[in-house]
Amino acid sequence: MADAPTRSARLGHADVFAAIAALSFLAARFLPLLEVSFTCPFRAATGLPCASCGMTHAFVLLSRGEVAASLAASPLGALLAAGAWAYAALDLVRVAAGAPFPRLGERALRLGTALGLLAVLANWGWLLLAARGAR
Amino acid sequence: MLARCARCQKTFQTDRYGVQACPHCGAEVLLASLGGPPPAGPPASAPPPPPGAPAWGAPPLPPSGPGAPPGGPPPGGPPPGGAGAEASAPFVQRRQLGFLAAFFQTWKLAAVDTASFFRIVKVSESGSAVLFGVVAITVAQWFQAAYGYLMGAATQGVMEQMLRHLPRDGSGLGLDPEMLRNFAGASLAGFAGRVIAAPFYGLISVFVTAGVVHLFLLLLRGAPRGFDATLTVVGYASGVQLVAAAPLPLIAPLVAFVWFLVVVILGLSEAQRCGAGKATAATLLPGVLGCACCCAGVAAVMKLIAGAAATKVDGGVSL
Repeated sequence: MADAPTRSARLGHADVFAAIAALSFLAARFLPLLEVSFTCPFRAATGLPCASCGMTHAFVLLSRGEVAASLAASPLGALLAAGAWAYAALDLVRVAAGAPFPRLGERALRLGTALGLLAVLANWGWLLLAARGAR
Repeated sequence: MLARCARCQKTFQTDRYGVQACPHCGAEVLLASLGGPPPAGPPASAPPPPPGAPAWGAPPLPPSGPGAPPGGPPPGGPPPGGAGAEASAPFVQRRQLGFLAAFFQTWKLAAVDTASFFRIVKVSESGSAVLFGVVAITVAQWFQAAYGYLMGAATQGVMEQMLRHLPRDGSGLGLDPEMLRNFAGASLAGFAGRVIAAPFYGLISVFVTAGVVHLFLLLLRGAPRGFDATLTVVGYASGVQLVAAAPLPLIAPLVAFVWFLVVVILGLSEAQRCGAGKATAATLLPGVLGCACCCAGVAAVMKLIAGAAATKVDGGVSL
């Protein structure tokens, strides 16, 4: 799946994304995001959740350690949060250890994106079913 | 042939390549021949360009992409003029040109002369593109924060009048006077918070947008030149967010957003050599597939930062 690792002398794009992932944890954990009143435009127009509804709740709840509630809010959101934060932690360890960043091949990235798209659609289906069940 | 001066942006007629003086402002303009040998020497005032690199004043290159004429290069093929036919954006040369001059030259090229600019801009200098985008977004955010603060200050007088008619603890109407003050929005702390957070918001916005769009480009097999090309396009395209600094609430940000999308689509089709169809799909699909709530999450963070310093969140006040 992965090509030969390459060593980068300075911080690269991957590290910027890791920093953003780490920031998302700090924001979810320490900012009162759920206090912000916001209505999803798609939900307001159709009464149904959009594909990314519940993501903010999933991030915030997972940052508090409420795994089940996070998964209930948005399974994909919970997985995305866990993946992003794990990536940030691993990248921090990698930088500290001076290890090279494993460069993914284009094929692997394409496959990952396709799987991600399927996950988005599956998550949306789950949200729609959950909303229907709640009525 | 028609050439354009990188400094004054005026055009002039010339019949030769190489270094020559702009008849309007006197600046030295380097017109590199795309097929011929590089000019003998670099201009004295400009940084030395790589051999074969075209100047921004050079005549337009042959079109690429699906709309190209039969004799033109195929979509997805090598860049027109060969791999060496790339030029640094003026913003990369900001030390030589001056920050503001380089910024506005680049802004004009990216926003107005979009296709030509992204066709030959060097994609290996994405750091400057990111800085360019962050500066534009930051300035736009600062202006929007200032408008919000001023509008809040303007409505605060009305709020103060309301407060005078309320009991000291607001219990008569179930209103918290402190909340009303904050609702007016004239909080200096909130304004300062938004101003401080703006560069971080800009950086995150550029990288996340580029990352998402690039994943979709990969899926569509439309990213032959790698993430740097996508990041360069999104960075320079973010320059048009500066339009959101105009004092037109709602309209200016909307115009800036639509313009940004257009520049990204045109830029990706040229910089990635992927064609307009793939560029359009990669740019618009993420939004269609439900980024609205994610964007709202980022907006919520910005709103919180703006208001958190002055709002008693622990008291359960919704922003």
